[in-house]
Amino acid sequence: MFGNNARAQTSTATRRLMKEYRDLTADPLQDTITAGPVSEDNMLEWEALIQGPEGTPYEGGVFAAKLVFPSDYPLNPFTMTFDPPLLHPNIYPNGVVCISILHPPGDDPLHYESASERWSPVQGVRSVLLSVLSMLAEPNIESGADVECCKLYRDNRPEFERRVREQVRNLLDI
Amino acid sequence: MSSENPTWPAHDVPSPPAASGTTPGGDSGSGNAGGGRVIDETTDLSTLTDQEIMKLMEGMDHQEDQMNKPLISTPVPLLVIREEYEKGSKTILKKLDWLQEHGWDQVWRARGDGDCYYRSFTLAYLLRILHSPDPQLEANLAYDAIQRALPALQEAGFDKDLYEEFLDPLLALIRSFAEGSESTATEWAIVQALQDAEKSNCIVVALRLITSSYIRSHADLFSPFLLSPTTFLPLSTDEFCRQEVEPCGKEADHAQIMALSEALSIGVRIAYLDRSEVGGDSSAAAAGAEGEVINWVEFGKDTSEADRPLTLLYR
Repeated sequence: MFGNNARAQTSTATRRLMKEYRDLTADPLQDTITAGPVSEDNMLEWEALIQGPEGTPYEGGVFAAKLVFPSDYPLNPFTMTFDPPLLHPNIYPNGVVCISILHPPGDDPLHYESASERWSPVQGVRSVLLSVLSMLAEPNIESGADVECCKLYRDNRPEFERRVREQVRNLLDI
Repeated sequence: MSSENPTWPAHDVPSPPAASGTTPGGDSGSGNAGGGRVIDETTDLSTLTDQEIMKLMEGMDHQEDQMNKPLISTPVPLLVIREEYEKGSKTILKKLDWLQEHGWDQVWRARGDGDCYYRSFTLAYLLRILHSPDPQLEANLAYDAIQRALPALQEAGFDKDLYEEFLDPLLALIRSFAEGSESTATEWAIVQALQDAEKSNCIVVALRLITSSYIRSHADLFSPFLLSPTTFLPLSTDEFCRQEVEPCGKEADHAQIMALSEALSIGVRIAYLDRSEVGGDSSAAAAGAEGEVINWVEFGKDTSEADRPLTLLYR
């Protein structure tokens, strides 16, 4: 964590994000993910479209998420928010993704994730989105974000899957 | 500020100054105890109640006051540090007095944010160049040492554009020393760069990547010592580097300090300001045996005085 006097580092962030965007375009993440800035004027706000992994209840869905980068990126991680929110144990009811790789190193209130991968400046959009894909396939209820959803996933898997599929269908109708 | 440093021991070769790195998990959690009593470094740890421990841990996590301190301070007299221990451990006071008597009478304080080792290292590394008999030569040597460390970064799989960007502020400073620029080859320029969050944090990241790539390329040497600091379980080289070296805010322990010191071929000695009695045999200490008061922890090839190792203070 870099505290409150971390000065705006927007030019570094922008340069880095331009490069990440270029690399992602040149070497796309299979066909399952696309990501890029919402507008060329603001590199600090991206949109990503993620296809639900095959063999999971998310299969068939295409989920939109907003990526918001801090001005001191890549020293600190970005935030990722599914809009509309997606039912998943590691996604808060407001859509924010809770995954260890997106947590700044100092931000570990319960010391849960001391043994898992976290943000470092060598990570980037690509590595995070790949982690999100595997998170969709394999929820981690040990460090859940949506407690109700965690319970449902643990105690009544068929009902969890039914609700996810219902959500996927509703999304496609829109 | 004068670039002359009048505070060094009267040795022919002035040694670099001690930078004080206070760490969050350091010697005391004073002030955060709340409740009935004041808990400081003299408190017997076995008397702490669960509640007090919780309070102290919270204090470690929040560190509100830590975050308002400068990343690196301008130099302060060692006596300021001594005052903090005035009512505390006699052993620590003895160690501080020894440092004072041997010419280590000022310190630069680093904010205890988990990056303090890397920042203190940078400060001492740059001051060592500045105060050497031939700063331009030393700057060129340092520049070369860094360049020699770079192939390992590429081998470790770090993107060249990425690490060059982080390295840039450090190399720019060293280049300006090599050119002998009157306006930038000063202590003030170093402190300014390290207080500037962007430059300072870039340098921290660059050193972290150098450290990580050294550990990765010397896995056989380091792997027996790579443990998780929270669980004490062994970690693979890759896990250790990803979890404990590359992310900012993760403190440097022996392995990291050793790796950085080796990667840049620079000796580092750290005065450990703890309450342990050093030397054990008090008659030897009384007889005035040199250096018996401080427990120095030394890293790298040459930490003899003549080679002017980086000297840091840890508490």
